[in-house]
Amino acid sequence: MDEFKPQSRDIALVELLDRVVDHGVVLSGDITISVADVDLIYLGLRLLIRTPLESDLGRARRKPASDNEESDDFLLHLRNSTERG
Amino acid sequence: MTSYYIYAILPRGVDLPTDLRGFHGSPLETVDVMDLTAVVASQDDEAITPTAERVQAHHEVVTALRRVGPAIPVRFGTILQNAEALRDALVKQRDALISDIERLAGKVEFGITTLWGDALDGLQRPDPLGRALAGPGADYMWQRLAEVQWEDQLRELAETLQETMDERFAGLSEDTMYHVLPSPKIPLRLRCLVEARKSAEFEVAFAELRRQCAEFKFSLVGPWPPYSFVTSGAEEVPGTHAAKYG
Repeated sequence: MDEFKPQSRDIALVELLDRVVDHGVVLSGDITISVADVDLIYLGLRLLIRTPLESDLGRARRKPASDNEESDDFLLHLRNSTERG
Repeated sequence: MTSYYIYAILPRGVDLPTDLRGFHGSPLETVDVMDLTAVVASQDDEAITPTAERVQAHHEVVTALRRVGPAIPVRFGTILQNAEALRDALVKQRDALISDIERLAGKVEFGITTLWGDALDGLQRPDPLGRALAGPGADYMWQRLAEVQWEDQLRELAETLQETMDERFAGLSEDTMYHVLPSPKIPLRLRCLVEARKSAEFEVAFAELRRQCAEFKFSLVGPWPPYSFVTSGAEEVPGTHAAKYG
């Protein structure tokens, strides 16, 4: 019996990101923000988060295409946390 | 031009918490349209950059609204140009929004992620090198066959775990989304829609599951607003389907 205790907070953050950014009501109409932009940024986040999980199975590493420093810091933290585990 | 960042949709007439604030302490407003209320914040920016802090803030607003009524979360980053655009969107999607509000009232979402742990210890990984060598092309095909056979074994084990979890959460989960073998390291992910009053019962069932399947590792998150089970407007964006998990 075990749990992912060392990274549980980070895992919760990743799970939360997955829900808040990728789910919820999509309001159609004159949407100012391009939802596709969010998708692209989110895709970058997902690649960064998923890569460590896949890396030891020999999958190709991919770098994120985000130019947002704050997000990158957060995700770098997540990646490092995951790799430590 | 002032635009609206949208946090959530509620049935009209729900009293909002007076001290609730949006990003960076921005005051929240309500816009009433027919029998719906949108909780919004005015802003000058036409786009918003997703950061961990803003995602967390969005989540906290939705969570606080769920305490006072059956709020359904709007996807992070949704900005409408003005009140008229918001009104048009709500009118257009009114029936689907009301349906989601009614279906998801009083319910929360839990997420469970599993890792293999020691569960693979008894499995024999196919060895392509055990075959007679017959040239590079044949070797490649044997290698591929071994990989496919290994994945079949993983999938079979993951599906057995899925059946166990189905039985364990029967009567507790109103709706369940499974993702079998999302990556080779993760046998199963699932999201469960649970009545809020059964949250403690669900957590007890999860603890029992961990004891029952001690060879696996498990992680539980929630209870959260039922983000994954919202369907309103999901068909508007290609690749975004609440009912499809993965």
